[in-house]
Amino acid sequence: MTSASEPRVFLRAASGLVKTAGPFDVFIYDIGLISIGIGICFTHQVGAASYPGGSIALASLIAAALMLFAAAAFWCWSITVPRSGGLYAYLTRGLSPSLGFAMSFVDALTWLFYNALAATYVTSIGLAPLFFATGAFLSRPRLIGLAQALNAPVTQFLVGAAAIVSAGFVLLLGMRWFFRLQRVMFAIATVGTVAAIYILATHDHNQFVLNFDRVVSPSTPGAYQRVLSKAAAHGWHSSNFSWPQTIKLAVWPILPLVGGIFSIAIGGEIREFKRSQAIGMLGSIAAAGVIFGVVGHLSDQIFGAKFQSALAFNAAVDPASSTPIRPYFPVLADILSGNAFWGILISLGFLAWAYLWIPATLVYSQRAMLAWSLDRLAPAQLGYVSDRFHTPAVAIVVTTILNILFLYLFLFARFFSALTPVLAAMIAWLFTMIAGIFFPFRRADLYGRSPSSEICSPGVPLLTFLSAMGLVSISILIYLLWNDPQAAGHSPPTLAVITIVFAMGFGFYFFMRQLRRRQGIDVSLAFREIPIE
Amino acid sequence: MRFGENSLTKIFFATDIHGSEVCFKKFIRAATFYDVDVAILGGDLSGKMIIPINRLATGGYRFYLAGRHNKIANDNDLSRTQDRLRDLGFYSCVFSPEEAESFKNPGGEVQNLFHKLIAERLGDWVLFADKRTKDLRCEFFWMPGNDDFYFVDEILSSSSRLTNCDHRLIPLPHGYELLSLGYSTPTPWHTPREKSETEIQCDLQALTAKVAKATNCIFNIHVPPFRSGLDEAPALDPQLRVLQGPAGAMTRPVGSTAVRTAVEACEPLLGLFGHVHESRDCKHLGATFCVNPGSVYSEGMLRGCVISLRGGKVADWQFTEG
Repeated sequence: MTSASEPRVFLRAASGLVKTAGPFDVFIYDIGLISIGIGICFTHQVGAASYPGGSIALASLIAAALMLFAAAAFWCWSITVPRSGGLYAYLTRGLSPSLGFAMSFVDALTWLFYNALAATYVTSIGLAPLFFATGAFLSRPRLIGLAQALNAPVTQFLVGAAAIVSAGFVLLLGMRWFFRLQRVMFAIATVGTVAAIYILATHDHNQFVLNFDRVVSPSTPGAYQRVLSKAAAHGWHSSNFSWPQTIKLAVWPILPLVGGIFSIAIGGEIREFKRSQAIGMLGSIAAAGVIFGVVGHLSDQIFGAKFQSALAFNAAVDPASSTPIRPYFPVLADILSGNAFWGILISLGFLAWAYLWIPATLVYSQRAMLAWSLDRLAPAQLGYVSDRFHTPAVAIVVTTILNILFLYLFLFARFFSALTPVLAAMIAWLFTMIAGIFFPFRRADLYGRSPSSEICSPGVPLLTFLSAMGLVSISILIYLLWNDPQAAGHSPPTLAVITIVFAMGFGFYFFMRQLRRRQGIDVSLAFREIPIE
Repeated sequence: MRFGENSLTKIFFATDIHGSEVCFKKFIRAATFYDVDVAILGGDLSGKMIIPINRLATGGYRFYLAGRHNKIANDNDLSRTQDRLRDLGFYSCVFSPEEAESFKNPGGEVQNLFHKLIAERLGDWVLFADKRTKDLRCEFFWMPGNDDFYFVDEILSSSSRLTNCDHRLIPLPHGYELLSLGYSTPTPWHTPREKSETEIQCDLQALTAKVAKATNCIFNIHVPPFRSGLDEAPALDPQLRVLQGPAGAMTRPVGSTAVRTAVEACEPLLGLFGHVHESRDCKHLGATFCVNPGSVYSEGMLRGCVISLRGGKVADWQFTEG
């Protein structure tokens, strides 16, 4: 008898038997959290100036490859422990409650911090280029002046704070409003990105030079060349392609690519989770890496790799020798387009990418807080759900306020390198990989019941194998970050930030454990497995 | 009965184990593990799926699970596989090639098979529980839920140590009372024990009329109150597909308005609810502390909640995942 004629399964009428809506939704969720727009702008702006000779395109592909190994391990975690909660769910059950809470705390705080970056990008890669393009191509100098004003730190703070508050307000109203907002933002972002790639693909370098001269210095020709000469005069050195610089540059695309694994936070809501998480996580990272690579390559061809480097260098040391506003990618793409329609479309797309990230990342941190609250590791008030809106109102308010504080820190008081919190998060991920290596042995019964145990793997449990691979890739990232003071480094301020964040995580756990103990509550009950015999 | 200032009653509540044997065994063990006075297992005790294990003419067996065929080499492996399927809440049945042929186009035979396997498992649980709990001081309660056929009532009531509390008001230690109801409102799956809101309202009114003192009463009702935050289930389209948004599955409240009305009118001390596995949470509805511990039975993890009552009040609570 063939397998085709054997009965497979018999189902009966029972609640909860639902059909999955498909892995495409997880893919959209993850790629939305990668934020193609933020990734392109972040990498191009920093990479061009700080890593002369580094290829953004290749660095993006290297970053995607490293992230894919880490994502594969997280994918295996997500099917071993197929529930929502991410690092918190995995580590409290896989390592220890204190480690699990502390890593979750570091993780939640890190992405809240980078939400502040996204909030600043609402102006710098969205509104400012939008007004700049409109002013430049419709001959409205006042709009260019407005764009310049929007780039000032105070304006970025005010607009960014408004973006964060509005995102918090939408979340307060409920998930339906959030979904509607996300759908609209994602559509605009996609159109803008496609428009940008279209413009890059259908124009050439000479057109960019002409447009740049026309827009930046209409009365005095040669603006493009002046950027290079002014940069050289300020100490910039032109460099040919360099593999070491390219590898060092790879840590910058990592920040947006991290979003590709964020569906671990909603793992419990995905039914066909093996396939959905694989396509979502791995697919989104691969797709984003390719898009970053394509945009990086086209940018080098059209704008010029050395020009981008010189321009970004000037923006940092002598803004008058750069573009009227900070020369993020949308500004250059707008200039290349040569007209207001395309310029507005592209700028709106990148504005949408920046705004899209804000509520989605707030939700990520809020879910962590709700999980802590349910396990009595955070005040019960943090888990309060509004009777009117049926949303976690207190968690929303707390994350919104924290986000605004981080925005202030990011703009006015940042004393550490931009990727220092990423280094902290990578250390938390390192623990997750270590936990993954040992989980099949420490929790053999739980692992044995999971779908992971059914998948063939080379001699060792699949989670062990993939976590070992992930450990290698994350170790490489930590090494790169540790040895790059531009990105993170290990200066005293950097070490202080990392130490403080981890100390806060552990401190909070032990404080709450002690507090609950005095109340007669044993928090370890939330994680301890009941022995059957 | 008046409460002493220090009278402490500890309750462990879990629900919706859907045939998972390891979860049931953990429930029984939980009484001593958490050192509780009362252990309550909410409704939905029966599993949802039979996995046919087909004996191959060439030797060994084959079964289909999670989208792929799996081979079993020998009888030892068969036994281990069946244990694993039991822990996941599935039923299994070994088919000879001739039996598999007769089940190619199954009709009522599948329903009969479900009845047989459900009865067998629950019967095994009764034997296990009666043996393991005979020397324990803890009082055990269980009840059917909307996914349980009516024939299981007799099996649940046959236990000498676990009391079938469905549709009853039962006195507990220290003057508390347990009011239980295992029905749910109508679902898209037309499960065995569904009642309209009006019928549930009548049932609850009849039960609450017998309550001595509402503030000492514990509601153990399978379907949670409507829009309580404990009843947020995945929103489905007409084809029972989960509606997904950019931030995950969309949800909607699926609880009972009749239950909510009863809770608000009666104001019991404590409300224990289940039915919606994803809606693990606790909150106050008026003066009533309401809990849904959720369920992840398919992972072999028993989600529950330990609640301490002291002097007629909820002193503290702790979600567990054993």
